[in-house]
Amino acid sequence: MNRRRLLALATAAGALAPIAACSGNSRQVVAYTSVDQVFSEPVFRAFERQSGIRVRVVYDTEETKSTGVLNRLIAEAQNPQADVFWSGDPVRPFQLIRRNLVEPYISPESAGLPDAFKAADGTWTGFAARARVLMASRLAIGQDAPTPPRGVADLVSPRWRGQISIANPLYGTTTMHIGALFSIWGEERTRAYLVDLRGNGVRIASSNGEVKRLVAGGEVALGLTDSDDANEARREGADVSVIYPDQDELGTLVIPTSVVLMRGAQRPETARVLIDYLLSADVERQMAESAAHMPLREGVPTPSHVPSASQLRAMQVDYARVAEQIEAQQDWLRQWVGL
Amino acid sequence: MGRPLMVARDKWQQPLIIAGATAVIVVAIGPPLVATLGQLIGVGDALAPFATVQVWRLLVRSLLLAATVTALALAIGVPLGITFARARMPFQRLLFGAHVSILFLPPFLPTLGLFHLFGREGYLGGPLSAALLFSDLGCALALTITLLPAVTALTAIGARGVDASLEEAARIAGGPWRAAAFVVAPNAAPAIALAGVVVFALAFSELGVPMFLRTDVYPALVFSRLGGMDFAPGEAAAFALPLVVLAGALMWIEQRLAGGRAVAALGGGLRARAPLFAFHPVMLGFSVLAACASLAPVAALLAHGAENGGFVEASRWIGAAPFNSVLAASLAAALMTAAGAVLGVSLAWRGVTGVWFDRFTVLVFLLPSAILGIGVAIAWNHSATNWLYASVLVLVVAYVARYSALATRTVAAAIVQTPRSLDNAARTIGAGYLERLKLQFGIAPQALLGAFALTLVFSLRDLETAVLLYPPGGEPLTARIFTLEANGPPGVVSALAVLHVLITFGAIGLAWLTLGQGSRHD
Repeated sequence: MNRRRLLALATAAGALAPIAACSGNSRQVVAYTSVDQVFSEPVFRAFERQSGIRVRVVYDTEETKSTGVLNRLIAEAQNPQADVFWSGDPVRPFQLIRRNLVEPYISPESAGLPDAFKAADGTWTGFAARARVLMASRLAIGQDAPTPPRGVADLVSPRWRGQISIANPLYGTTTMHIGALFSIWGEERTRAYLVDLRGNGVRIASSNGEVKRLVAGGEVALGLTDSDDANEARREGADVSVIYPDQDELGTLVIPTSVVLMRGAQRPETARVLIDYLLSADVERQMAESAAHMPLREGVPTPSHVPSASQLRAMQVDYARVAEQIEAQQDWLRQWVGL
Repeated sequence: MGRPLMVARDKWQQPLIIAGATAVIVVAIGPPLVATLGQLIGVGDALAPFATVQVWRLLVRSLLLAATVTALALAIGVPLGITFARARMPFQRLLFGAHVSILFLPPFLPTLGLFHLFGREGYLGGPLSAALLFSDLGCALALTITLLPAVTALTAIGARGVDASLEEAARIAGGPWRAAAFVVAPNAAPAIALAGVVVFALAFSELGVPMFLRTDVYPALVFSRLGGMDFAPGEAAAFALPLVVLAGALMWIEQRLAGGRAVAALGGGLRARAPLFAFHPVMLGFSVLAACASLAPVAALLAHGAENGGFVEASRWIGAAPFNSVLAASLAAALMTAAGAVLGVSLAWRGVTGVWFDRFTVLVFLLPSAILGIGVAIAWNHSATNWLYASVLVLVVAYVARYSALATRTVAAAIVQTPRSLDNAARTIGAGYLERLKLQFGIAPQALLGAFALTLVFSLRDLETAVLLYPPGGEPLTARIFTLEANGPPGVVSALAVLHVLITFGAIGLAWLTLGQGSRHD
């Protein structure tokens, strides 16, 4: 047998292996997630070790965070591939709920989680949360630092002109933050605010991760990003400080991750086992330690730099209304971004 | 075997083999294209999205960006390509390999390397270099560095294809510089034109680099309808319409500049000859500089990876991604090479099938990959085809759809250099179509190796299609690098990018050893 035939045989055998792996349904589950791979993958692996169930995962990219995977779920609606969607926020599931793509499931593990962070009908359940924070660069601000901003409204001050960065509000948690402002401030005030922000030279980054890079690198003084990004900057040794904005009145936006069971899931039994695991106190602990996510249930130990959700003045938002606002403002936001 | 039997065999062999090759392309491209058209029809008024000035502003910006990148790449790449092809210098192959290695990576990763170099906190960076990098000019320069080797390589191949006697006559009459300027370059024009078209198309459709460097471009508009909150594939397909016009224009330009020689000029790299230029330190310096420009971003990734423990951490995060990458890419490359062998021969001989399939596949090559990806998902995600959609085969289909033009063109480029009289002679003595194909590839075995290597490289470096379609648990390395970029351990993304370059070199080396040796045995 010559070398080419050997190569062809090896290739064919290699090709068949993953195809065969895809055909069995019993002891595996397919999960799509918009939670950062670096944080979610260890959780899935721990689940595999504990349960013996293999998890096959599709992760989201930083640039399309939360929407890339979400839109793949929508595009695959006619023949769902995913059994479980672990969302990085609680508003994307509403896009699926509205399209009747979610199977309600009330996990026994959800009992310890606050009612504000889960749907009564079991369509979604929130846990391990992030907060939207202001990251400030000591490098860029320097020693004679002006008074740091106390809330997001301060970002339109001329003092910060050209010194602020936010991620593209068409994608990721920034979408949710802007949607939350629309739901609380109303359309007129929020649009005026965003126009002022643009006029103040805000730099629109491709992702929260890039906002982190810009602030950590001192290219801007302030960035509106997620607490886990800020924590990573801190872990990487960046000279930054973290401000939980609007602790006086509006409150800081708290963003729980959330999990849903997909309607038409090909492996519903193993999917429920995975959801139960994700909602356990152990995963909230893991997420607090690895990703600085705030546990939502009481009594979960956290590292010193991770506040618990109850320590913060949280923005009072109706996540369903935030989801509506996001959709309603899409055209306007695209124009604001320049797309 | 009697002659009537041989004639009868040829009668069924040729249509059957050509039908098989075209079926590979049609199965890969047809369903997603039909699905995309279906989405477009669903929009109703397909021109409605073009009502705003913003859309046209972005289109013009992208055209200007692509034109700038193409102009810069041609200005540097053409003399560089002639230097690599026709000058005597030490370490020529090494320098050329280093220069083209940047093509192995999705452009986003070398740009990340440039950020580690010239960002405010970069190894060579400061506020000024950071401001330049994060500007329209910075974006154009980053894309030029990434795509320049395409011009260099194609020009070098074209320059080697110039008639040796013509070149020698010009050298004796006017010296090497005049020979290069007035004979080599004009005769390599078809290859240079193709390079210009490829670079323009890749620069225009690039999304990752402009997004990272905060430059507004037209592909971001398309992507915002697929990756944004309101999933609107029909609107995205409508926004792709100008790209169809652009693809047509580019093909027309290529034909105008290269005429019937559009393919012919690429095959001359098969012939060895004496250098046109004697050793010249300036030429060596120019080549070293070009190699360094390509290696610098990769070196920055290497340094960043090493400095931050990325290579130690990489084993923890790499998973089965290299295997997934190589498996999907090699299967796709094998299919594209097989189909390209038949269609490339047809194209080289200006057969109707070859010419039309070339246009068809080049058009798809120029479309935004996100559009193609959504088309593949809609077309293949059914319970009856779950075996394909939920496995690595979905990536194979997508790669074949996107990159098969490269295989056809490469094969055609080599075959057109072989004398057609050989085929006529074989036909006269009653050789069947398969025997005649074997004869062609016996004379030009590099055609298959080149087609395989090129499609393998492009499939391995693919990011934008793969990230939309990879099967659960089966992500290729490029997708894994991109998904790990979000808060991944510092250095891991850099380390994985460097490993990706090494894996690509390894895959090409393996293909070279296997197919190259095999072709010699034949």
